[in-house]
Amino acid sequence: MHKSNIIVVMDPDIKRNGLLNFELLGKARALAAEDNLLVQAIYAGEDDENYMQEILCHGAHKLSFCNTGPARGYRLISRIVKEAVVLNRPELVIFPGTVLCKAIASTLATELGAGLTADCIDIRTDAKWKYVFSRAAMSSSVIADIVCINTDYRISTIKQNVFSNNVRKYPKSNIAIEIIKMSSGMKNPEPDLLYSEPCQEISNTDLKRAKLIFAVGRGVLHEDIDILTEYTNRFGGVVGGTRVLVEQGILPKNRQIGQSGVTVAPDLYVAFGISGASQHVAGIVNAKKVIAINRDENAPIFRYSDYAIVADTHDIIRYFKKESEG
Amino acid sequence: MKIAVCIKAVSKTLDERNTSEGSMYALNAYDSFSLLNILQSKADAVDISVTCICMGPPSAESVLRRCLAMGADDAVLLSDSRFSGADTFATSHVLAQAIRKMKFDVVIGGQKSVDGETGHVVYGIASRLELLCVSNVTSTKILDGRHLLVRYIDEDSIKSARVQVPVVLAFNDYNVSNTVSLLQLKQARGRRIGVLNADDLQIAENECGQAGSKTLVLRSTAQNMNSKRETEFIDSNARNHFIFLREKLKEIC
Repeated sequence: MHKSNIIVVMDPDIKRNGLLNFELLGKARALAAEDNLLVQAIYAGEDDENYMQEILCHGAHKLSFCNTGPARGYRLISRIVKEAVVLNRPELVIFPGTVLCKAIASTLATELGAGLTADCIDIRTDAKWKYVFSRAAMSSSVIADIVCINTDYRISTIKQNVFSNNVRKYPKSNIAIEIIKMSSGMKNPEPDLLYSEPCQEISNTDLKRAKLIFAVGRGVLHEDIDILTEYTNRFGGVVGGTRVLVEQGILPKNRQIGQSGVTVAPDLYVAFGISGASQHVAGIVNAKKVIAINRDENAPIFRYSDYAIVADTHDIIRYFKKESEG
Repeated sequence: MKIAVCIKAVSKTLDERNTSEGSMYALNAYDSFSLLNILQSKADAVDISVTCICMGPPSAESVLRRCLAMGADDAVLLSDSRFSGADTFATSHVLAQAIRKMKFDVVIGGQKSVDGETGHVVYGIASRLELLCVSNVTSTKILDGRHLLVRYIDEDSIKSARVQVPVVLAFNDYNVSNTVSLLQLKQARGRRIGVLNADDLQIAENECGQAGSKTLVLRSTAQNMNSKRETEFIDSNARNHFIFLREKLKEIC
């Protein structure tokens, strides 16, 4: 008898998002266990035998693979995923919250008339609604609990580091990998690419993966940001910051931490001169330890910190500078 | 070339800078950016018409009036009590239907809104119109009657591509400040803004608003209490604060 399942779509850029895929598989496996469901991974990308074996070790019971090579067109992958979803009629479909996968999820949801919840921070099973999806909205000032109505399909996208605690190794599944054939009618019309230049300043992968982050807000002098950057780099850490600093052009966009920026999950997060606006705090909930430094003892950031230092950031950063020079 | 700009009216508490005097609503900053960008092409003397479309209550017309003041040629408000309670699925249906009826070459808009921040609607519109959506657009330039040059971000690269109409472009950047002159606002006050309802768009009641939605917000609660931590205040002088930080750093590295 066909057992119901949860489908997890893999982001094909496994170099950048390989770990995110595992986070989602882990979460799906935990949800599946509650209702005795199977986890089916769908991967449309390059033929990577090692990675596919890893998928089967990180929570997937089944893996369906379509060899699309290096193609990254969202419409192509949408068609492949749609066929698999319509065939398998899953209880839930989970996508990584990457640019590509959100495009696929939105397209798929529109075509299927599915309920789609973006950037979920939690998914819970529910007797009445099957699943309840939580996400932040209104610059993270509220958390909304969302359910799907008038549909048999439930889809959600999830950003990196939200379920970083769910990454786990499982006994490898013995179910053979299902090969999905691309039907010959599939085209992949993409814009006529004229040129492409890699731009280091855009990448935020280092921030997403960083184990040590020094974050700066309005309460840090410009010259002090350079001192902190130089100091953290020596420990393999990364500097990030608040939306305000990005809006002012002091930090590039890829350094923004928060709801509209990156969700981080470092072992240590040190917030210098950051007041703690809810949309920023939303990005640091998974930091293992948070230390905050702010002149204002009533700064909201302190409520979300393990250690609070009421002080002027410059007074402390002076010592970082001394140590760097000495 | 006929260009449709999808506009969302958001609560003015989220963005005072993009709000006109006396209005309850602000122009979504991402949509504002896309509108300004396409108006730039217009300024470069290319034969284009820019129409702003917004699905919202009657009072959202103030946002469309702001768009006219910024330089848009036309504005249309899609308004009907039956549209209320719409999620992104129902919203993209209404917008796509209006766009279909008015026959546009290019559809642009902000990739997301500052309130919902889902990023679904542009793709929903593109899907329904069976068009390609190019996202993370930072700028665009009209090449000729059928082609645009689009600059967009794709992961870690900046790409430049030539696209053919019809197409959907989603801009993923926002204006921090967007000032409109008093004269422009005054001139916009007299302009006519078309209003279309569900019947005009031939949209059935179960296809729009809450009835046409696939998601429902069960509840909204203020920022999650669970992210609060047990805080220990370190009360000392700057030097000891530095030493404390350095110790913590060494612990994890």
